[in-house]
Amino acid sequence: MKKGFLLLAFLLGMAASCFADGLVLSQKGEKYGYTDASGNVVIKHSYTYAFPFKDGLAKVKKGDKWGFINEDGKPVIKIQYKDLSDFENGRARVQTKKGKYGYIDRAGDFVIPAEYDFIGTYNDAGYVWVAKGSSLNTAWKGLYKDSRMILPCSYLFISFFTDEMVSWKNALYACNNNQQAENLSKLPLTNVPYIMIAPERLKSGLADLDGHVIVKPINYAIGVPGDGFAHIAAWYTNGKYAYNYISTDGNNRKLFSSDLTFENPEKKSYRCTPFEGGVAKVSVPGQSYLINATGSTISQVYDELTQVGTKGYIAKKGDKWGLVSVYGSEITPLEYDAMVTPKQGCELIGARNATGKSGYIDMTGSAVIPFEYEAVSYSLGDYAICKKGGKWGVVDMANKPVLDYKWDRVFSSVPGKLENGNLHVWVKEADSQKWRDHLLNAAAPQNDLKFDNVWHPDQDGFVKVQQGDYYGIYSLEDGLLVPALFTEKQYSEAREEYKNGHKKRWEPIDALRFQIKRNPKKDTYKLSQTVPDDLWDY
Amino acid sequence: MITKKLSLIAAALLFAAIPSFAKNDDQTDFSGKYRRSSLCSFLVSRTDQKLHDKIEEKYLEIPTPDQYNDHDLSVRILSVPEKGTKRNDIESFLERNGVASRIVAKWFDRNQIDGKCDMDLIKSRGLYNSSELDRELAGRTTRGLAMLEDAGEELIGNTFVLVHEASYIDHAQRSKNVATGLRIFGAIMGAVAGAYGGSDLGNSISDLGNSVADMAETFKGFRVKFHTSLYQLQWDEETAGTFYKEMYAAQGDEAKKKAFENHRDLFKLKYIGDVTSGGSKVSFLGISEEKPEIMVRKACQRAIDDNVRDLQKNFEVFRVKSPISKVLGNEVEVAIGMKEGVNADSVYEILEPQEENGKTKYKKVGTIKPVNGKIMDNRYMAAEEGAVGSDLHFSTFKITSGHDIVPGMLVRQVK
Repeated sequence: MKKGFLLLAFLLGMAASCFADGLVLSQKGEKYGYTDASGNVVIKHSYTYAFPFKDGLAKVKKGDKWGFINEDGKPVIKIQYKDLSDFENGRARVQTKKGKYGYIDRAGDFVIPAEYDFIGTYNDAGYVWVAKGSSLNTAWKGLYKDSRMILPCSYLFISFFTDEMVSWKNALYACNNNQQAENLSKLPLTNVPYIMIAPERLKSGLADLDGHVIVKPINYAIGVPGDGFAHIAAWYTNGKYAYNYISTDGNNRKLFSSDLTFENPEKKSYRCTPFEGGVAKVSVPGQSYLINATGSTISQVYDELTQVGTKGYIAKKGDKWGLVSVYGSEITPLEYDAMVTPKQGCELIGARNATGKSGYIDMTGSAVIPFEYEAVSYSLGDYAICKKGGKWGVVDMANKPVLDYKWDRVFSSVPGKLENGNLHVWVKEADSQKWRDHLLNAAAPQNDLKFDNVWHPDQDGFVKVQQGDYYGIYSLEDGLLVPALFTEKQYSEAREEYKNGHKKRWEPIDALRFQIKRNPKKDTYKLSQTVPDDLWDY
Repeated sequence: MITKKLSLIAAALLFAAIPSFAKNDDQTDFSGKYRRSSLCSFLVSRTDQKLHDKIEEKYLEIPTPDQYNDHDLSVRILSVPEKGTKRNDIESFLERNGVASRIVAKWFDRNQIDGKCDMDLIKSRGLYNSSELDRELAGRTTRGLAMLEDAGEELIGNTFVLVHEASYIDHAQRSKNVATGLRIFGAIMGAVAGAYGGSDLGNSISDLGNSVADMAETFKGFRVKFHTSLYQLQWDEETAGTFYKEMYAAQGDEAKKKAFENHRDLFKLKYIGDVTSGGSKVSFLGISEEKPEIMVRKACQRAIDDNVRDLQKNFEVFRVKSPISKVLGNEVEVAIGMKEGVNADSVYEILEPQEENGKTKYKKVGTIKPVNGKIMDNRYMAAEEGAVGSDLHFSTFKITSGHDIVPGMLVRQVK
């Protein structure tokens, strides 16, 4: 008997739970409530607005206040908030009747106290910004990680170093001071584990992601740290600049006892890089050199130093050029009259020697393409662009011509290591002064198409091409994909339509249909009228 | 079972739709692998009605239902000054504007500049083995002609035109005056723009709050009624013969181009029937109070879906076939639901597609009935409403007759 009772109680319990899972939001007159699947009212229609149940809770509104109820209709989060977000990762944002923001957990306890005038949305790493103040366009002022305050809401603003900024490496202000706090926005996700803190105008420091201050705020702007130091910079109204590095161990030790100061009336960009492998590059007007972590100069002082991959630098002093290793020693003496910085991913450097002849050298300083040309451009990986007899052509690494010397210009944005051995270059005809697609080792251009202007391939491999005032899409593999029949303004939309469509190639008729579909006039006719043929796509 | 699969594989030699059948019954996605009817729709908008511009805007956002191919033309909206549109007015428009000929032109991707046509859309929608169709057509074989005839019957002939006329029902007794609402909306935009120009932001925000509430009230009362007329493209042997002989041009051909343009009246639409949606109130459930205008889309889309469903119910020729996705013992899953009118009393027949000398035949091999509580609610915004069945991706049906049922077979509503 007792067993039977227990079983019955268990079954009833099961039934109640399944029942609750199946609650359906319903509307009766002006009010909202919940029914079971058969339409029987389970929670009375007493709410001015309501949402479906999710994970056992439903957001409801009574009067102008929001809260959460459970499947028994009982308020789990008291119906008292002016605004309330859904729960995400167990947290919901609340706004009190006084307008203050915070976060609560599913029990209604505060994760972040509701005392902020503005607040962000948690990012995927669990960080959220907070701010106090009257202005909507305020900056991020404080920081929480989950429920732990990382930085108090006492800064003028805080800022993150974004990956994009860091990828510049030598950016002076790697942190983005222009990031504005848009209410409820998410902090960017970044791999750089530092936060810039600014307690007042023109003063900045650094904290780690646990909130430990590793550079106490100083009257400088601060850059991305590396190898225990961060670059700092200040500039003054009298046009003077001051550069230095500062330790990131919390002691605020400057690398140079005196700042490197200089005048920069033309406001040119001079950049010092973060330390990497114990070496940093310092650039100030007229001087560029490498230093180590003790601040000692480990290279000659040059006019310019341009990094090439990971192996070294192109150095220039006066009107001579040469190569310098990452440790500051000269790979070649400064004996060249000119050098061309290679494209990213290529390390073959075009150079002109003292006899006025041009060729290519690698980063060991060895000649790869002999110095027998009138001029050279940048290399294309396994190929190099050279000029002979007043015309441009391309040679392979054995100095064998793979494109005849008959073009006014040659360029390619694709490094030349393609599996099928075919490399497209753009060549400019002397007669028409137009660009044509040409494969290396081919006798003639790929097709009859000529363009006034061509762009680098975008992320989808589409090359924007221009003919007169109109633009189209070209593919180095497949030729003309979309004829150049679109204005600059229409180009992006046509590109999207082409990308999302099923046609491999647009004919002029497809372009015409595209224009027709976007012509608002087509839908302005009366049923009694005849719509002109030129507004029909078929 | 083996015999059934062999027959389906035989069909697959010609029709690319079916080949994965026998390989993996449980895992194959058949959603894109069956022949659908094609649909071209127009909205007749009454300019004397409030919110007609909002209805037009939202109508253009409504996609062609999943079970049909989108065969819309560039012109989508026509206007009438007041109520009283007659069937004759619609038919006169369709005829005067050569809508049937434009539908045919779209089937063959006819280039209006030089008259060039192709069969790509037919191959793709008909799931034909492209190279085989090309080979048979080039050889002018009996099989090739049968395939062409098949395409005509199965695809081109199953092209429908829907003409929806919208009537807005203003239930102003509980909603604020719509025009006032819109004026307020305009004022908000002005205020916000002004705020950025330096006016007092606090006031703007408070205006915005009040007006959003007003707008929500306005749209909560929004109701719309659609009268939908259904037409079917006439594609008979004679029409097809004339088209292929005198108008179809594999390359640009001025004479054939002119022949098509001068004889657009060769192509006709046949009136099938019409229905009117109930105009009943659509729940505001699931719509954010901050974006109340979504109510217009919800009401319009639900009314149009209702009409499509009713037209299918009333007119057999318009009924669609949907593939069985999964067979689980005595039950099958099909990706149709309440939007298509599936309810506890529905009955569907199971059809097995068979190929016979290049033509498709459908053989009835069983019947199914929905399993109560396992009907998908796929109506627009059902998930946002938290409706029962809105979390399902298929409806489950019990096999009431027939055996050897395999995924990829088609079901069609009987009742």
